[in-house]
Amino acid sequence: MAVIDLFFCMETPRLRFFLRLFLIPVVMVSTAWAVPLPKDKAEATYHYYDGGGVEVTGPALFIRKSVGDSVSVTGSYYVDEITSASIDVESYASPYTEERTEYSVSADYVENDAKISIAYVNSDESDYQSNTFHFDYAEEFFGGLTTASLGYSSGTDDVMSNISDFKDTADHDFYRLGLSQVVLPEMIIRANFEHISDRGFLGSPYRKALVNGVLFDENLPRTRRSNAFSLGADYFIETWSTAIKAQYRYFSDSWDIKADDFRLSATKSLQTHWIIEGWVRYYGQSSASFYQDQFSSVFTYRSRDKELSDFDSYSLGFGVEYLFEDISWLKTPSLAFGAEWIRYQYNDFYEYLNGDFNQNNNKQLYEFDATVAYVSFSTNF
Amino acid sequence: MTSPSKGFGVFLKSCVLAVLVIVSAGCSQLQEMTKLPEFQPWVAPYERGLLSREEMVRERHTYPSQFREHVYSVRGASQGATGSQGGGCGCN
Repeated sequence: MAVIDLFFCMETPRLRFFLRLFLIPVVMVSTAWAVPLPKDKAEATYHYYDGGGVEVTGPALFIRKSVGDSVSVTGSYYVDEITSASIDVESYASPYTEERTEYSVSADYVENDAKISIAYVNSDESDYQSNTFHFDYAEEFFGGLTTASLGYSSGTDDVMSNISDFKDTADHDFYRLGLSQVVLPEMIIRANFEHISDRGFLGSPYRKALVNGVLFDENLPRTRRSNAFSLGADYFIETWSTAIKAQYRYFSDSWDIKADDFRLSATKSLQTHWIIEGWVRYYGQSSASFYQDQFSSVFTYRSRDKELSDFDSYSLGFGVEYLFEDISWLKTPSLAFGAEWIRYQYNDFYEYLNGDFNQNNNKQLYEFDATVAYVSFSTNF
Repeated sequence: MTSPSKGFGVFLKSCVLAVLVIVSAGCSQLQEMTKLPEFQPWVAPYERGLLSREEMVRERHTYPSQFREHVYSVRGASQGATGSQGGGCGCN
C-alpha cells in the first residue's frame, strides 16, 4: 500500500526525490547491456540570431570522451550574448544587453542493447537561473530494428527582475517516450511523445498587458500541462545520394494553445567531401485562452505575450559541410555552415505606431523576419 | 475533486514509472529466461548500410540543430517531442 501511495503522490517532492535518487541507480544495476558508445568528439560552434530587434550571438564548446568500454562523459559550454530592443522592450522598457551561460555535464552508459544517459544542465543569466536534471533510457529490440526510449527531466528555475526586487520560482517535469523503427533498408520512422508539467511563475516580470490602452502587469496561471506528439520518417534515395526527412509535430496544452509543426529536409552528398542540406518548416499556433492584444477590463489572467498569441511562421534554410581527410589523431573532421530565414506573422498582435496604445486606427498586425546562422567545426578523435 | 488534466498527469507518471521498473527488471534477459526463438529481423544488419550513410545522420554537428530548436521554442509557445531534452533558459 505504501508503494501505491507513493505512485499516486507524484506531485510531492517525496516521489521526485525517489525518482531522482533511487530509481536511476536501480535501473543502472539491473539491466543487461551493448550498443556502441557514442564516438569521442569535440565541437566548436558560433551561432547567430537576428530578428525582431533581438540579436543573439555566442560560442558553444562540446567534448565527449569515453572512459573504458561502456561509459562516455560529455561536457559543454554555451554562451548567448543578447542585445534586445524587441517590440516588447520598446513598448515597456529600455533596450538592454545581457549574457546567458549554460554548462552541462552528462554521462552515457551502454551495454548489450541498452543505453542510459544522465545529464545536468545549469543556465545562468542575470534575472533567470535554471538547473535541470535529465535521465534517458534507450534499448534496441528485434535485432536492432526497433529502438524504444523513455526519459524524464526535472528542472527548477529562479526567476528575478533586474529592475525590482521581484523573485519567484518555477518547476518543470518532462516525461518522454520515443520509438524508432527500421521499416525498409532505406527507411526509418520515428515517433515521440512528451508530457510537460510546469508549476510556479511562468510569465515575465517585465511584460505588460494592455487594458483599454493602459499598461497592467501580466498575470499567467501558475500551472500548465502540455502534450506533444511527433511522427517522422527518414528515407534514403540511393540513386540521388539524398536523404529525405519529414516530420509532423502536434502540441496542445491546458492554456488552450494548439500548434502544428511541419518540417521537410533534403541532405545530399556531393563527390566525397561535400554534404549540402536544405530544409523548410511551417509552424502555426493558436493563442492562449488568456491572451488578448487589448483587454476590455482587468481579467484575473491576462497576457500580451506575442509568443502566446495566434501566429504563423515559415522557415527556409540551407547548410553546407566539408568533410576533411583524417589529420593525425583528428578523425573525420568537418566544417559546417548554415543559415535559416524565418518569417513570423502574427494574427492578433499589433504594432502600435507612435507608441500610442489608445489609437486603434493607428496600428498594424506585427510581423518580422529573423535570420539564424552558424559555423561549426567538429571532429572525432 | 481531481481535474481531468491532473488525473491524466498522475496516470501518465504512473505509466512512465511502471515502464521504468519493468525495463529495469531486465528486458534484455527476458529472451534468455523464456528460451524464445531468436528473432530474425526482416532488414538484416548487412542490409542497413544506407541507413548509416552520412546523409541520414541526424545532428552530425551537435549545436547547430540544438540552437535552431532553441530558437523555435523561444519564439513560440510549444515544446517537446523533438527527440531531444527540454528545459533550460528563461528567455523572458
